[in-house]
Amino acid sequence: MFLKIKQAFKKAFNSIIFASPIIIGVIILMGIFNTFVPKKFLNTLFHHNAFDPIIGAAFGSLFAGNPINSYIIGGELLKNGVGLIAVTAFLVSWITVGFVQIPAEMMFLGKKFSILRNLLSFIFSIIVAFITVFIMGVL
Amino acid sequence: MNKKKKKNKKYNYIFLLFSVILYILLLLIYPDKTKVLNSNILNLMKKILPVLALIFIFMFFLELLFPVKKMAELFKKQKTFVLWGVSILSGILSSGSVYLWYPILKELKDNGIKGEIIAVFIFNRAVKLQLLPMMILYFGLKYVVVLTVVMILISVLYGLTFKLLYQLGS
Repeated sequence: MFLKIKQAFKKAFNSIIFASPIIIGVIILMGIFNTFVPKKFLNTLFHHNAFDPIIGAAFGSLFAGNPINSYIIGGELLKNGVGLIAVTAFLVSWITVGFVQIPAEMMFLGKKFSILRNLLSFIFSIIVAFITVFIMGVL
Repeated sequence: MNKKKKKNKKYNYIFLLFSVILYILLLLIYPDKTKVLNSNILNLMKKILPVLALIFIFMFFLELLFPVKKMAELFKKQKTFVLWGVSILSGILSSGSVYLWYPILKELKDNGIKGEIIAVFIFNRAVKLQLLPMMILYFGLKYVVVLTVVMILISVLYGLTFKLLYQLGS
């Protein structure tokens, strides 16, 4: 039991240590972003129309890494006036779509599997975003 | 540590170095912004550090109660609708980067586990149990609960669509 606890502790600790350079880096970048990038810039990326969820999902698909980073960026996007549907699509696609990881996924699980899975995940991230925000409005 | 993880670790530090260099450069170019920039970074850190401690506790208990090997064995033994349930649950409980799971998923696929089950597993990894405290901090409890439930329910439709299209392509 002691060995199990030790292993679990080690694994959890290593995961945090492994992710920490990225987390610290993202915190610095977000600080820079908040200080130097005017809110107007975000409005140029997100046009506050029907295409926003697609843009959000596209950004989420391109970025990769720890989901914590997507929460930080998503939270900041919300604060800057980006719609909840676009932010939700961004958050979901961050995890479910792995543009950067496609070559590795293809290698292990096959080309057809990888392309279909990522394409469907992209579409479903937008569907999930619409349903989530619709339910939020009803509740 | 395997080669891939070593490579990723290197990229993690390169990313941090890039961020620090950019920070220093911007402070040299815009010294008047020093106070605002440092305050913004400190505020973000204050928000994130306590939650990181919570995440560590979550990860520790997940690893203690649901080790990767046990989960994979459980995954192999199940069939049909039970397998769908196990796939969803395992996806939610699994932690670590998705590429760490590829070898196990390949093994499962090679041993006859269907593509849609694996796709549903990966889709449900978006519901990060150990990161929920942080998500709640940023987006609120109501949003996180709704998103989590929607994700789980929609993953079934996602799996069925995947199955249909995968079969059509065969």
